[in-house]
Amino acid sequence: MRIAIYGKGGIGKSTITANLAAALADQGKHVLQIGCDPKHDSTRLLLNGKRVMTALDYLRDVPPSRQRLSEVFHTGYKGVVCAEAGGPEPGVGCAGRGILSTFALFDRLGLKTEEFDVILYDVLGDVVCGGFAIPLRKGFADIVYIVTSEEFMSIYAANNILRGVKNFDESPYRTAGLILNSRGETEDREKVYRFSEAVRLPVKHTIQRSNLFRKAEELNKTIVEAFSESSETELFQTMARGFLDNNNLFAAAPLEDEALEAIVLKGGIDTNKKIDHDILESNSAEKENSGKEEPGILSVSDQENGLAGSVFLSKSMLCREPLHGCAFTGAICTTTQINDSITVVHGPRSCSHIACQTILAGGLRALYQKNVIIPEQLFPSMLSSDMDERVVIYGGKDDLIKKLRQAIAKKPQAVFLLTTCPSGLIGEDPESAIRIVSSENLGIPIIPVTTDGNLRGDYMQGVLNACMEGAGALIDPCACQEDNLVNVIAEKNIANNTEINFAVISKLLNKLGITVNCRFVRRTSIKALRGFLKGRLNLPAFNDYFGRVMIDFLKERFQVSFAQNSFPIGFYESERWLKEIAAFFGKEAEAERIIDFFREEYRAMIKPFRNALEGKRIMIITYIHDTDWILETAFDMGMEVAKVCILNYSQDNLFFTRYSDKFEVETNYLPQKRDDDLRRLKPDLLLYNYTPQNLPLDLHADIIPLCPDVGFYGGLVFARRWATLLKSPVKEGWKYEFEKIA
Amino acid sequence: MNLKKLPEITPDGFTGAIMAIEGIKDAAVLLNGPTGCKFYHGAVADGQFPRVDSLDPLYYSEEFYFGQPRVPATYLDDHDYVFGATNKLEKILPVVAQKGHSLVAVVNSPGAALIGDDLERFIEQAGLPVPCFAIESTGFSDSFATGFQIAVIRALKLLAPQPLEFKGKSVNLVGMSIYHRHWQGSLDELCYLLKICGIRVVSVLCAGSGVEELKKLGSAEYNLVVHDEFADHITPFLKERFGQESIVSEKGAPVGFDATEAWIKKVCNRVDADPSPAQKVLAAARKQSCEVLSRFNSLTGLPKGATFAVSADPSMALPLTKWLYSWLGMVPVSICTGDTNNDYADILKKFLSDTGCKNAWNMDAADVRPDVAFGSEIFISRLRLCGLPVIGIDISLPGNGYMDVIQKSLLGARGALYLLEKIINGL
Repeated sequence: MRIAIYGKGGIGKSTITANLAAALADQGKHVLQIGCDPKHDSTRLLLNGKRVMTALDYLRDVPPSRQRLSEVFHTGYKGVVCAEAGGPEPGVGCAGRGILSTFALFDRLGLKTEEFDVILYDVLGDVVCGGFAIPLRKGFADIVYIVTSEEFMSIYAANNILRGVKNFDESPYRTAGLILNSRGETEDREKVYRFSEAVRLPVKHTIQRSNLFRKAEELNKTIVEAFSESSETELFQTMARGFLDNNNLFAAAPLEDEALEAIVLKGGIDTNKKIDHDILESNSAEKENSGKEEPGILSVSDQENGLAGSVFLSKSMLCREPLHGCAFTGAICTTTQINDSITVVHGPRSCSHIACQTILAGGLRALYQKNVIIPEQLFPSMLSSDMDERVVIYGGKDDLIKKLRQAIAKKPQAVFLLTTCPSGLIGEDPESAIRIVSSENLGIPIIPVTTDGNLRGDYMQGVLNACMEGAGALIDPCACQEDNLVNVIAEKNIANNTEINFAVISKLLNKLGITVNCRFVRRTSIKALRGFLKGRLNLPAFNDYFGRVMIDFLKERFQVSFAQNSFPIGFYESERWLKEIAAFFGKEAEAERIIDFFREEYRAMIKPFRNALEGKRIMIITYIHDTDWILETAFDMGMEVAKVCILNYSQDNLFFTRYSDKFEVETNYLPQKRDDDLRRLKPDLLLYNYTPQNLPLDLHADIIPLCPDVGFYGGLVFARRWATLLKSPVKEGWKYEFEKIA
Repeated sequence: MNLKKLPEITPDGFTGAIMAIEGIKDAAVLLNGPTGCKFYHGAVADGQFPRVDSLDPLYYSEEFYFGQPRVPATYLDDHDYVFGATNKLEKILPVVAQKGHSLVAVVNSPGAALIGDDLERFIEQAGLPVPCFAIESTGFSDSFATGFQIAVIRALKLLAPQPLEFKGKSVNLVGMSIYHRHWQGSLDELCYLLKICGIRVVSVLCAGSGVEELKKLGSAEYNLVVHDEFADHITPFLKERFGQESIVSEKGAPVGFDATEAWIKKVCNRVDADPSPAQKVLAAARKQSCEVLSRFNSLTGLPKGATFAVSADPSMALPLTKWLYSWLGMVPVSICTGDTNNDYADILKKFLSDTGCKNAWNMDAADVRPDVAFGSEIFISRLRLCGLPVIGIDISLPGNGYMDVIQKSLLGARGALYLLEKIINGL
C-alpha cells in the first residue's frame, strides 16, 4: 500500500505522517516513509531528532559506483525506514527536479517497494510543478490523503492538490479524503466541511489541537512513541487501522477558484445552483486504458518489470566526470539506426536539431568523403514535439500524445520515445502519454528510453540505455539459434569507417560461410532485433568500456556467447580472430586456408614499404590504449620504436602490449613532457591523435585514428602513408610562412 | 512507411541567439548549459567564423572548453539543476573574461532557463573587466531568427551605442548572420557594391563586425536590410534608439540581377547616391551570363524549362524564384519557406499563382522530381537518396563539410553568376 499525504507547507503533515508511520509500525507493519520536502524534517521524530543525509546530498557527494541504498535509508522507531529527499538552498536550483532525482536514485539503487507493507510519501503541496507531483504518478501512490486546517489558504492548497491529482487520475480513483488538522476550537470548521461537500470528499479524520504535539517534539519523538497511552495516540492508531481497512477512494473534483471562494469564504452551498467544478479539462484527461493489454504488445508495465532503468552506467557517470554530450543524443543516434521505427523526441526543437545534426554529420561525411550511403544517417527517422513556452509552464502531455499519434500514423513497426532536459526538469510523465496512445494502437510498441537530456547521463549512457531499454526490449527470448549466424555488437555509430570495417568483417566471415544476423545496434531492423537470438555467436566490434558493458548486459539478460576478441586490426589480430571464430563453428581448416592466402599477400605487400621505413625511429603519443596494431606494423616494417606515451583517457585504463620489452613506455603521460622527450629521442616520425603544433624540432608528424580500419591490412594503410610521408619535406613552406605571420 | 517524408528539423532560437553573439568578431558566448548543447554550437561557430589560426585541442583542454576554442560551457548536470550552478558560474566567468573578448554573453540552455538561476547577479558579483550580459531564455522552439534578434538587441542594449552625427552616405547592414551560407562572401559582395556607389557600411548586425564597429552604428544614416526575417525586430529598436530609418527592398534580399539592382537603387535613392557604378557591375555580370547562357542554350535548350525546387526563408526564396523563372526560364515545382510567413511569402504565393505554378507552393520536392534543388545539403541529399538525380545547390546550412577557401557569394552580381555557374554545370 502506497499512500501520499499532501498538504500546504507548515500545516503539520510531517508530524501527522510520522505519527501514522509509528502507529502502523505498532501494528506490526513494515513501513517506509519518504519525505519529499526540501526542509527534510519529515522523519525527524521517527529518528529521535537525528538529522540524516538526504538523498540529494548523497547523490551529490558520493560517486555512483559507491552509492548504496542503505546509506540513504535510515531505520527509526520500530523499524520504520526513513528517507529524506532534501533539496537546494532557497533561491537557487530546482527543488522539484530534486524530487525527480531522488526517485530516480532509489530506482537505480534497486528499491524494492514490495518489501514494505506501507509506503508513506510526505509531500509539500504548495508547489505544483511536475517534481512534487511524482508521488501521483502511476507506480507510486495508490491512495492520496490531503491535510488541511480551517484556514482558507490551506483549503486553497488542498483544492490545488486535487487539481494535481485530477491531472494524473487514472481509474480507479485514488483520493481517500481530507485530514483536518484543526488550529483550535475557535476556528470555523464549517469552511472545511463545505469544501469537503463541494469536492465530494469526506473529512476522514479530525486532529484536535493539543499541547502533546509540542511536548513530544521537545522529546524528539512522535506522540505515538512518547505518549503511547494518550487519546492522540489512540486517534493515530484508529487512523492507521482505517488506512489499512477502509480506503474508499474518490475522484478528484477540484473547484474553480471563484466557486472555492464562494463556498469556503462566503459560506453555504446554494443547493439550487450547480457547483462549478474545475472544468479545465485537458484533452489528455481521456481515460487511460487501465484494463487488459493485448498479448504481443510491449506495455509500459512490461518494460517497468522486465526492462527497468539501466543499472549499467557509463564510465563518466561512474567516475562523476564532466558529462560529455547528453544521454538524449546518444540514445537517438542509436534508435535512429533501427529501420522501420520512428523516434519521437519530447523537447524543444533545439534538442532535436542538435541531435539531428550529429547524426547527419556522419551521414554526410560518409556520403561525400567515402561515397558510402547510410540512409539511417541521412534520413534520421525522428519527430520533435517542439516543446514551447506554453508546454514548459503547463506541461506537454497533450502535445506528446499528438506527436505519438502522428508517428503511429506513419505505420512504423516500433516507436521510441526520448526525452530532453526540459522535459525531465518540468517532470513530464511520458509514460502516461504512452499508455493512452498504446491503448489506441495495438500492435505498434512504443518504447521509452531513459534519457531526460543529460539528466540521466552523458552521450555514452544514452547509447547504453538505447541498446538495453530500446533495442533490447525488442529481442524475442524465444528465438532459436541458427547455424552459421553471428551478431555484431557495439559498433560505433559516430565513427567514419564503421561501414567500411563492417564490410571487411562480413567478407572475412563470408569466406568461412558465416553471415551476420543482427548488428546491435547499427543499421538494423525490428525484425533483425526480434531474431537476435538466432545468432549463435556474438562478435564485439570493440572491447572498450562500451563493448564490455554490452557484453555484460547481453550475457546477463540472454545468456549468449561472445567471441573473446574484438574486430581485429592488423595481421596478428586478424589471424587470432579468424581462428577463434572458426574454432567455435568447427571451420578450422577453412580458416587456415584463408590465413595462408592473406599471409602470402601481406608479405608481398609490405616489401616496398619496408624498404622505405626500415631503421626509422617512431615515437607515439596517444589516447589509444591498444597500440599493438601500430607497433606490429612498425616492427613488420623494420622500424625502431623509441617510446610509447599513453595519455590519460577516462574511458579506459587498460594499456597492454605484447611487445613490452622492445621500447620505452610511459602511461598517464603528461603532454608537457613531449618536447624534452622529442629532443632526447629524436624520432624520425611522431604519431599523435591529431597533428601537434609547435614542435621543438623539425620532424615528421602524423595522426593515428581512434578507430582504425580493421582486417589483415589495417596496419598496411599506415605503412603506405608513413613511407610516403618520409619522402616529403620535413617542414612545409606554409609552415615557415605561418611562423612569420603568427 | 515513408520516413523520407518526415519534416526537416531546423534550428531554433537557441542556436539563433548563440550565432548572433558568435557573429560579433570579438564577442563570446558563455553557455550555461550541458556539453550536449555546447559541442554543436562550438563547432558551427568555429566553422562559420573561425577566429584562431590553428586548432590544437590541447590549448583548449582546460575546464569549460572541452577541446573547442568556442562556446565554453558550465557543463551542467543533474546536480546543478537541483542545487544551482553557482560554483561553476563563479569559476567560469573570470576564465572566459580573461580571454581577451570585448563582450561576453552568458546564454542559458533551454534546460538552464527553467531553473531560474540569477545570472545577472553572478555577472554583477564577478566584477568582470569585460562588458557581460545574460540571456536568461532564448525561448523554446521559437524561430532561429527570433532568438537571433533577441540576442542582437540585448547586446546592443548593453553596449549602448550613442546617436552620432551622420558621416556621409552610410548604412548599417541588418539581417545577416554567420549561419547564412557563404555569409562572408555575400557580405564582401554587398559591401563592394555599396562602396563603389559611395556608401559606407558602418556595421553589420551581427555578422563579422566587432564591438567597436557596433558602438558606432549610430553614425549610420540608415539601416539597410538584407534578410528581413533577421531584421524585423532589430530595425524598430534601432529607430527608437537612433531615429534611423530602415531600407527594406520589397523584392527581398539581393539575389539575382533584378533584386540586386532594386536593392541598390533603393538604398542609393534614399541616401542620395549614384547607383550607376553598381549598375555597371550588374550590367557586366548580365552580359557575362548572357554569353555563357547563349552558348549553353544553343547546344542544350537549357536552362529554359528546367524545373527547380527551393527550400529557403521567404526573403531568399522570393528573389531566387523570380530570377530563376524570369532570367533563366526555369519553372518552379516546389517552393517551401518553412514556418516563416511574411510579406515576401505572400508575394511569392501570388507570383506562383500568376505564373501558373500555384501548385509549387509547399509542394514536397520529392513528389515533383525537380531538376535543380536549392536548399540545405540535407534537403538536397534527401532528394538524391529518394532516387532523384537532382542537381543540388546548397544555399543554406548545414553544408556537406566542403571547406570554401575562395569565398563564394549568393548575393549581388557575383552571387548570381555563382548560382548560374552551378546551374549550367549541373544541367
